[in-house]
Amino acid sequence: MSHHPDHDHSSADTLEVAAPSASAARPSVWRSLAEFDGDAEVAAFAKREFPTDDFDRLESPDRRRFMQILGASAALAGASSCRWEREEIVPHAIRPEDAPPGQRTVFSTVMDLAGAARPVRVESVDGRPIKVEPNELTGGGTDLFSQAAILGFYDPDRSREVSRGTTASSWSAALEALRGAAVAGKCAVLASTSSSPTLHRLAAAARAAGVRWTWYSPLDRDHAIAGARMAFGRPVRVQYDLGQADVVLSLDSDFQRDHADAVALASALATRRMPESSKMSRVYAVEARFTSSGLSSDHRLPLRASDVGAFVELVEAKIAGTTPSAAASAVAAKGHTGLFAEAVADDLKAAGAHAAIVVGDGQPAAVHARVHGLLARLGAVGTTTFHTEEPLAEAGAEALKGLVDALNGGQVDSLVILEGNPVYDAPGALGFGAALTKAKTVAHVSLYRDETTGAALAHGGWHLPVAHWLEAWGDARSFDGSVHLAQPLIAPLYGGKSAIEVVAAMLGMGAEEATGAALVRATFDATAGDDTDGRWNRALHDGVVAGTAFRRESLAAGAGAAAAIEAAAAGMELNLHACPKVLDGRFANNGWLQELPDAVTKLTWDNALCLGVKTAAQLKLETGDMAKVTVGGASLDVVAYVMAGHAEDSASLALGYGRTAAGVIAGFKAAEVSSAGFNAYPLSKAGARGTLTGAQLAKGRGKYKLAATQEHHLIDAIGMSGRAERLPFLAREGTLEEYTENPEFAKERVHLPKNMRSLFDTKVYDGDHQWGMTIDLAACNGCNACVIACQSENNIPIVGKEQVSRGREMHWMRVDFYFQGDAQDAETIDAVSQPVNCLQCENAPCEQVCPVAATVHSQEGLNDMVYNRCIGTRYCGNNCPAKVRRFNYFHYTKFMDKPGNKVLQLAQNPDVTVRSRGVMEKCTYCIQRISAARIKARNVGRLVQDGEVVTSCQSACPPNAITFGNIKDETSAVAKKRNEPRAYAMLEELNIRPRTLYMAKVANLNPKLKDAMKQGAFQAGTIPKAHHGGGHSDAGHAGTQDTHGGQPTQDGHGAADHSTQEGAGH
Amino acid sequence: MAAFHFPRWTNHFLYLIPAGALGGVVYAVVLVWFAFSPKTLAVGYAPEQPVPFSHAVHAGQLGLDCRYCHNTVESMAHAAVPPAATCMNCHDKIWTDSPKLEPVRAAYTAGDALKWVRVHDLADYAYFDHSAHVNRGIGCVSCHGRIDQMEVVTQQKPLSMGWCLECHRNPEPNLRPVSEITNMAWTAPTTEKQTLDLAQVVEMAHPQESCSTCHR
Repeated sequence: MSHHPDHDHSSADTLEVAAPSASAARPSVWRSLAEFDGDAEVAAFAKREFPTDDFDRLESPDRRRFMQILGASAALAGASSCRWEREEIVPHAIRPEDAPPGQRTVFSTVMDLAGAARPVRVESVDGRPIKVEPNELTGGGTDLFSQAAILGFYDPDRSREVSRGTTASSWSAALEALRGAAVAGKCAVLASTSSSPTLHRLAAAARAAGVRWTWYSPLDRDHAIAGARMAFGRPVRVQYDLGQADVVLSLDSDFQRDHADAVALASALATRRMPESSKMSRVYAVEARFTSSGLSSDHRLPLRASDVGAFVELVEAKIAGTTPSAAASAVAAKGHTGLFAEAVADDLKAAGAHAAIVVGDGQPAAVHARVHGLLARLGAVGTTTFHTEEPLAEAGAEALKGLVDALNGGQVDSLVILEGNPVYDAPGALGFGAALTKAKTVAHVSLYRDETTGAALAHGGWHLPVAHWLEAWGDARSFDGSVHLAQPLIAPLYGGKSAIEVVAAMLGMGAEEATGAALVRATFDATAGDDTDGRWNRALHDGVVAGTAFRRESLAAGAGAAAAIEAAAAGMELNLHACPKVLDGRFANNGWLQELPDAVTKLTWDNALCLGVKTAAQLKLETGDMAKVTVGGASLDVVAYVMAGHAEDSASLALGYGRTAAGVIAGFKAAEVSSAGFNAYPLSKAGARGTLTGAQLAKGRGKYKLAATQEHHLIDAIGMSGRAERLPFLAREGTLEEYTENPEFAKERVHLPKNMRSLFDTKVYDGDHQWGMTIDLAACNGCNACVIACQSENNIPIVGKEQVSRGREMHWMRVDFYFQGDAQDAETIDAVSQPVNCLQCENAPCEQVCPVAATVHSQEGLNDMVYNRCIGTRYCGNNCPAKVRRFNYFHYTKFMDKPGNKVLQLAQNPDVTVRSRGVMEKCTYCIQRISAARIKARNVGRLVQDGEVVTSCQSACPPNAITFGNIKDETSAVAKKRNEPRAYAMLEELNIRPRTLYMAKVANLNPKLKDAMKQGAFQAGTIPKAHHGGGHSDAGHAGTQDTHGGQPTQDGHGAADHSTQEGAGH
Repeated sequence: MAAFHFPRWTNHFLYLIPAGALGGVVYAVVLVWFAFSPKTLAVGYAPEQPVPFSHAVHAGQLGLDCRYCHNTVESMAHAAVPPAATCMNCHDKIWTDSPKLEPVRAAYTAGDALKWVRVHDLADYAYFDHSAHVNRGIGCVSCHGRIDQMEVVTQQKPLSMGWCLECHRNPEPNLRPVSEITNMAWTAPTTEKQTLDLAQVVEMAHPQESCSTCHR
């Protein structure tokens, strides 16, 4: 159990030679395995911001060339500096009402994400959509997919014209051909799974007209629906109310990121994760790879996904007081699995109706069914868990298999593929690509000329560019069933038509009734009744049709709930899961999402085969090595990534990569653009997502270059030597016990000198508003929505994989991920995620070193960055303790000047400068939003009110972890948060006086597990000593004064105590 | 062949080198200071417009309020240049055949834009907001000059950062009651109400001098 002292010793021995400092011992908190192992490269990143650049050795132009450039520059300067460009003002001939130039107009609309709506509000400036915001009427926060939709909309790689075979064609010809196909019979439609009531209505009409209709998407919840069928005899959708849950068990589920209802689940879970708001819930995660559930959990059990069924049996047996099967007992013997299952079972039983169990979509149907039975036994149905109808019951790989059989059987003459990309993302075992050619005519209606378009065109078929959801009428249902209306914010950029318009034309509807607006309205009228009270306009304005949520039922599980769970095969398993960034590959060509560092691996531009530390060691695989994975006859060469906390004998690979016809971002073979990542679909069997047992894994040939940001922008206040000591104090975590005893525990983790004085004059902040922020680590689940929201709001460019690997990514906001525990033992791993943007230090180190005063303080406490003044010395970035400054090494936005890419300029926020090469940039709390609110308020002689300025990261955050406002106003939400005892200032000991405060994370530990199965640095008591705190005795802890971190009850923590009492007390 | 040596008398030129260097510095300073200053380069800029619109006639002789055409000035950052439709409110009744108005009629009928040339052109990284100024007592004339006397709109103020800051640091000389914003000839309060209004404007002006006030 007490693993830590041993390993501390051994590692100290091995590292003593290399670095004979106090920090040579393995750290208890670390960002990457390399740091855990004391890799010299990490130290280089901490020492030098950009260690890969050796500027001294840059090839310099010879003297003569230098003089030529100098001369030319001087001459050009003279010629160009007379007056800047002649600019034209181009007003409307007739200005539409309520459309003054520069006005931001907000529209409610909705994005359908594989059958689950994401209701949003979209801001439009001068007729172009530029920013996605949440629709408060339907709940706060957005996911990163809706945030990134703006870039997807303006993607220059989108298809722009109708084609047939190798020639261009027209919409009228294409629609006529589709209509002909529908009339001729033996016509099939394969539609990407959608929740649109209108599309479902048209699908029913098409079926009535003899069209074979199939729904498929890799994100279909085949297993969950099959499990519900087993338990209830009919397809049922499971809804959770995690706000009611005292105990949450997540089984192989990343429900805060890839669940169809992820945003609502994440925000509901967070309401119970803050110790002061209400009774704190306890979260258990049982999972193979590290997910957001593991991050949010209080106790995490790394377990092979194929053993999760056995785990359910163990829990069930403990609750029911029966004996588990032999297979389950064998799993119980692995590590702490048995103990964990017992503790979970007791807790679930105690919670009773307030227990919730979320099962991952990749788990087999039997596991879903058994959990239905378990929830019924606990009495949780009706409190935390509800059942509603399942409108997507027929979608899935099974349905696709039926279509493939029909194609192969010659029963389909014409195949119309509505959105989706089945040639790429159908399960490999189905052989969809080959089956497609059996149809005489194939038409693909899609946003891009992707793999499926290529197959259709090569077969002499059609391609029709579909309209993006931002430019079309539509409707969609959220997971709870609520209907939302989509309205176009702009006319179709490339004359595309929406899927409903194409189907309406296929059905031979007249031009009048086949418009998107008419179709959606007809659906609305048929369900919502007459419009005498203006409910259409109301629904359009609100973005939601009131009273359309599914009726919640509480069904009793039948005998099927006792379905036998297949015993897991021994050996290696392979988990195929949706990527939390590009999902099933549909967002692969979105540069924001590709460059977004994954929440846990921090990988950009790639997926990788994630492995446990011991498994990787057995196979002699290291991160970056190529591996060969073989399963069921299919094999794939893929790069390995060693993930701390990953279950052993298990490998995880994200779907959605290895695209060959996506675009210039994700890969396009025809244009010789190499693919980002590796395509896992060919390995998939019955469904795209899920666990495949009996996988063979071997070391492959060679290495692959990955661009991970895990070791970039390391906070190193006093250099690498101080890093190990300081790490635990950046993202602070404590236990509920500790918090109850001393709510201010986080503040006391770090010793602060009594009088901290600055060599510089203390600034006076006399503005009427003083801006400040708090970020609650207890709520953050590392979903990254804030990062994309910031990128969209602030015109942040992407830089490409090569530049990312040099540490030059431009994100103003990053989510640091700290592992805690012993990397060699997955069961000890815990993690904290910490979003970091500019802390807006009142005593800012960056300002002190800027030679040209390009970064100075505002009267309102902001650390202003003046791009037009910056000369690019990068001293500020070097001196920034939080490492939040980003430098434009190249003119990253220049590619937008190319004629084909100019459309991207429309995505830029007109209220934020588009930065050029050679300037530093960083977060200023969305200064453009502050300015807008301040001007509006001051114009009528008042102050900005609380809640009037919402920063982009704040509004996007589903768990509402970010609070922003005027700290001078004691009644503001942010002032109240700052006054809460959990609030602490990161790097406070440097006297930087940051305006962003963090709220410490609190773990609600199960007394039965906290000592028996220690996880994380705080629980394991391996937090190193602070600068001068001596070893406290346990008696000292119990005293009234020394009420700080650590658990007095646990053994062996004395010397390793992280005693950091405020110094004066000692 | 013997090496060439400069004759001894050329040594006198050595004394000219410092003088030349000094002269060069003075020349450069003068060049940058005066020749490149907004006062020299920007003030007086009066490009030709697609329509010979006279502010002197409309705002001066006819006394049209600025806000009749620039109607977003009080609520928006931009003081919008009016659409052709605004011109046609009057000009479909008067001067209906004027050849000078032909481009306006053509634009209105075809629905095309008239392309006016921007006279008061700030740097793209400066975010100026008209509403923030006119609602707080800065009159049009303070930045645009006597538009009501201009046949062709001419830039009269340098619109440089230094010039902006002069007023932000000491706005009072330029403040006026909000009711007098568009009055080009206003000088000092004439009524008691105006005096009170002015005092109120001075109270609520709050000009900021932080960088982020204008640069984002």
